[in-house]
Amino acid sequence: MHSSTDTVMGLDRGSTQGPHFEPRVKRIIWLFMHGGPSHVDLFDPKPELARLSGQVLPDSFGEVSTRRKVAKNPLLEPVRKFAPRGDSGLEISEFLPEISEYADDLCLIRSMHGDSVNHPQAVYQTNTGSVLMGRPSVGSWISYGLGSGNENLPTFVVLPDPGGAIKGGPPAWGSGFLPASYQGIPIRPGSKPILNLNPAVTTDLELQRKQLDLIQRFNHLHLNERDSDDVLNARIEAYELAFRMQIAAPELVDLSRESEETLQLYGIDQKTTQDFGTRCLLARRLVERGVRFVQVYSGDTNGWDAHQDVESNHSKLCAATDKPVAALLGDLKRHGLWNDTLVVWGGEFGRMPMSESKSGRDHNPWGYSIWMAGGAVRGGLAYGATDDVGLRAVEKPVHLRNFHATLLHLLGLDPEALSFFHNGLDERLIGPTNDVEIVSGILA
Amino acid sequence: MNHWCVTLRIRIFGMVLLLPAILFAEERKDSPIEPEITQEQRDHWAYQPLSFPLPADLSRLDWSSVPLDLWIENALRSVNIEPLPQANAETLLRRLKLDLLGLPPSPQEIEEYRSDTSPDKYEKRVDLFLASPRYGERWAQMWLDVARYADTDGFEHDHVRKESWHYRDWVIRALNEDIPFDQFVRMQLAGDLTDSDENRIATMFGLAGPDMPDINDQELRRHDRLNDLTSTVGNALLGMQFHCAQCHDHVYDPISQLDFYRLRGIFESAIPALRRDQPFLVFDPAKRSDSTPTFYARGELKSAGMEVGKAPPRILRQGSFTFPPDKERLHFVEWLFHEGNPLSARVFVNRLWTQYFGQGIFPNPNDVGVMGGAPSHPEVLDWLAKQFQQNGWSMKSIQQTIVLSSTYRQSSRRDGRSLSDWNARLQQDPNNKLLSRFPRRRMHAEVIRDSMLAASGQIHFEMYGEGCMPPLPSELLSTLLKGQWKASESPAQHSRRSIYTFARRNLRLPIFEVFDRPDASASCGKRDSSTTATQSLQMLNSEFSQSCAESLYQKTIQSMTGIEPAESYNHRFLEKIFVSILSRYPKDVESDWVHQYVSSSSNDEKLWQSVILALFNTNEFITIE
Repeated sequence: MHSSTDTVMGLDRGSTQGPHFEPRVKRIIWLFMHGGPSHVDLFDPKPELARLSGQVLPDSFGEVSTRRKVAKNPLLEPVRKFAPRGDSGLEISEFLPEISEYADDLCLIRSMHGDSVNHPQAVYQTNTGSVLMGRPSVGSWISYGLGSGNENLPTFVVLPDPGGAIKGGPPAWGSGFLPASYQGIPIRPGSKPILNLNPAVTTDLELQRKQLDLIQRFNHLHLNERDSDDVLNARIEAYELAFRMQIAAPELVDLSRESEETLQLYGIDQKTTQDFGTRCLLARRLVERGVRFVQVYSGDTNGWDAHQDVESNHSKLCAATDKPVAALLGDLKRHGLWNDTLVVWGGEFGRMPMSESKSGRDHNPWGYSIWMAGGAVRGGLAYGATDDVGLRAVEKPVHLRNFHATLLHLLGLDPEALSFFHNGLDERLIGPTNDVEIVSGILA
Repeated sequence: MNHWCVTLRIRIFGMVLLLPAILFAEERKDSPIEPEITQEQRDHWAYQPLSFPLPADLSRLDWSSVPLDLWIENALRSVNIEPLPQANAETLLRRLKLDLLGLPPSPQEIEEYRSDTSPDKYEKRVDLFLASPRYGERWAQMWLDVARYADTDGFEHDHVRKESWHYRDWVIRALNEDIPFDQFVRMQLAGDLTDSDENRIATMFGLAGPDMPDINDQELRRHDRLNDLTSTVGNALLGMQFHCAQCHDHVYDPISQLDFYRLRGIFESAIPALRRDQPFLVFDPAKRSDSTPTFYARGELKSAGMEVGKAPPRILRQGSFTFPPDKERLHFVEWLFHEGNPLSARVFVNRLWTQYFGQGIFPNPNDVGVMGGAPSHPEVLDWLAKQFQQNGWSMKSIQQTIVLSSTYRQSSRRDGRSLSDWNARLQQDPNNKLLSRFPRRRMHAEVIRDSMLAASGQIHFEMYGEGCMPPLPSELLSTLLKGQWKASESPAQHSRRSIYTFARRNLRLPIFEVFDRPDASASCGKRDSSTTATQSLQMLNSEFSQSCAESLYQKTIQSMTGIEPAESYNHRFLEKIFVSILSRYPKDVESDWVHQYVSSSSNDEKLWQSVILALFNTNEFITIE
């Protein structure tokens, strides 16, 4: 526990604590389906919804709070068929044939729920635990709690969708009141992976090293004349880290050493899947190098936000992501990373059983699906349930707070103890209440 | 809605114990039980009257320039530390100008200062700087941090607040004109109740935080805005952690949930029913609310309970309290600045102190409570607070006092003293709580940017008006919605001072973000000072840094036209860039290193620019010494 001032990377005051107990996983890849994918059309089959299609929601469901006043609109049947998959028989819709191949590895929570029908609030809550803007994101908390697993790369990396900004913007991966060294660093494929990684004019590393040597000569003289100073010393270190990043980051995004087979596996050879496939492959390369928390965003500013037409919206996004996601799962196994990596797939909420504009659906934070995969969670499991039409989580509901607590737990962090003293309070990811539960039913 | 309130946990000897999840009082929304204020709470230092008994033995104190030094010196001498002498001329001038104006001294100013033999040359600079319009531009940012000010709403749409910059300009003008602090606050809390219309813009203080105008439930929007306003007033003006008390009674401090809603009651009429997608940024006499001040269990709108009164916190008043029936906000301001309330003055002078010394007399300027930490020099705090009250709440005058002190003018370094003396000092005072040396600190983000613009001769001192937009890297544009950032057409606009850059809540300029500018989501009393590799990348490789290096190169070459290229040419060039960036001449060894560096290749222009860039990247450049 320390105060939020004068933090120095790598030195004790701003540095990290390490796990509280033996971790189950070492790192997380979070595939964030921005806009809110429709659980009732992807992962949560609802025969009753098909039966009632075209009718209004029965009164027995009570008042429904919605974003766009769709409560009285006719119900809309699932737009794609579901089928049991794998040995487990886990039901997944035809939208996702490739992910379905991994049904026995998926730990599917069908009873997620959050608190806001609005995108930015739900994006913030899913990422930071609070509907307010400006709180530290999960990745920042984990970086703060566990520290770096690679001294040449950031601890928390974000791979944004090149199509456009998410709703709520960069605060979704901000470090809030935690030190800036714990914020998510966006990395992009191509020649400029990190902002200001290289100078605009020259990229000659030898010249850069010479310039850095000159800077460090000035800095060492300056430091010596000041009879030691931790902060000055840390800044000297920070320049060395920056230089190492200049070498490590281009190597990271250079896929030329990956086999043809791997590139095909991720669909990097095809236009539809090239972008998301590249970023999924980068995610694997990042965790392979010890990065703790990687977030891969799917969906531009509208993303999975299928208000108009679920069929066309989800067809496009599933086509872009299904194969790369499946490839990532297989590739993690192939590289021996499966057991200590956790993959998370989900959006900021799901969608309503009622229709909007005839064939679309509005936001639904009251009940939706998220899945996880990896060595620490039970595969082929459907945990919890929504009601008959997929409106609300009713069986073993998992609030986002408990979901976050479970992520921390899997990483060996005690969600009640992981705190940071700020403005007179011990702030935590799970918030002030101790009314939290680890979702133990999903643990392997 | 899950609002963030108080962490109901107590730390005892480093262990975390858990209190019962909720104290049941607030569950009884129609008759909430208000916890009695304990004697221990009453005895807490922050709520005591101002008091500053002089040190017992004044005869041994010979270092002091202004009274505040007496207590600093006394505390040092009590542990056998000799206070340090004044810093050398260049260091002191640089420190003073960076602190008062947020800009480094120009080579000419340094030369004039060095050759000025008058005994009051430092005092003259203090007066000169305090009278400069650059002063308000530097200090407005401190207040805008406290006011969680930005030019957009935040959340999904992050809409532009077209009129917001008028408030920023109002703050700059108020500081430059040295509007007394009590008036400064009166206009911000009640500018709509005074005769003059121009003061209404000041009331944006209460509404400058994030807002979600498109939310379905507009009552909730109003509730959130009132709670944010109340929290900000409590934190900013009283240093009391009011935001904790919207959902529960504060666990440690005597701020009950009823205290919160009574304080909110004072502002209840100022925020009318809001309309979807309509901004509401200043109080408006034509738009009022007649809703009754109400208690909200757990802070939730749907748990509205009993009606409450309108009053300042119980701990700061005697018994029951009634405001005269109308213009409660004006009466509240009067109450804030009446002599019996020690907090208005204490909190503000501590804010100033934090800016000058990097650490407050009490550690968190927004928290005088038990978790905030006790004052290191209570007498200095109270003496300054008293001066502030007695000098008509003049913000300039109290700052003048601070910078004229021996404490502020002392050296940060060992200089000629023995290493053992120095080590004893570090041992006795490891965190520099006693101020046994001037605390070295890293510049704030805006000061770094402005200093680079000034040193390289690019800075454009146009005052006031709409926020300007320097170009953003394309990678960052793609994290915004379309059209949210359009670089200003005129290049001169890109070189305006940081206070005039457009403050988008969802995206700070990269140089601001990496150097810990707060995100304007809540009132910030003290900035972090982190050290990261992304800062290094920004300083080394950004186009902004490159352009500053190029400009300073061109400017220096031009200043040397007419001088024959000779052996000493490079040395003169080097001297000029050292003085521009670091306010001093190079040492011999530093010159040698640079000459080795530039002689290793033939491309002179690029190499010299990389030397300039190297100097901008030194620890020395971004450190206030």
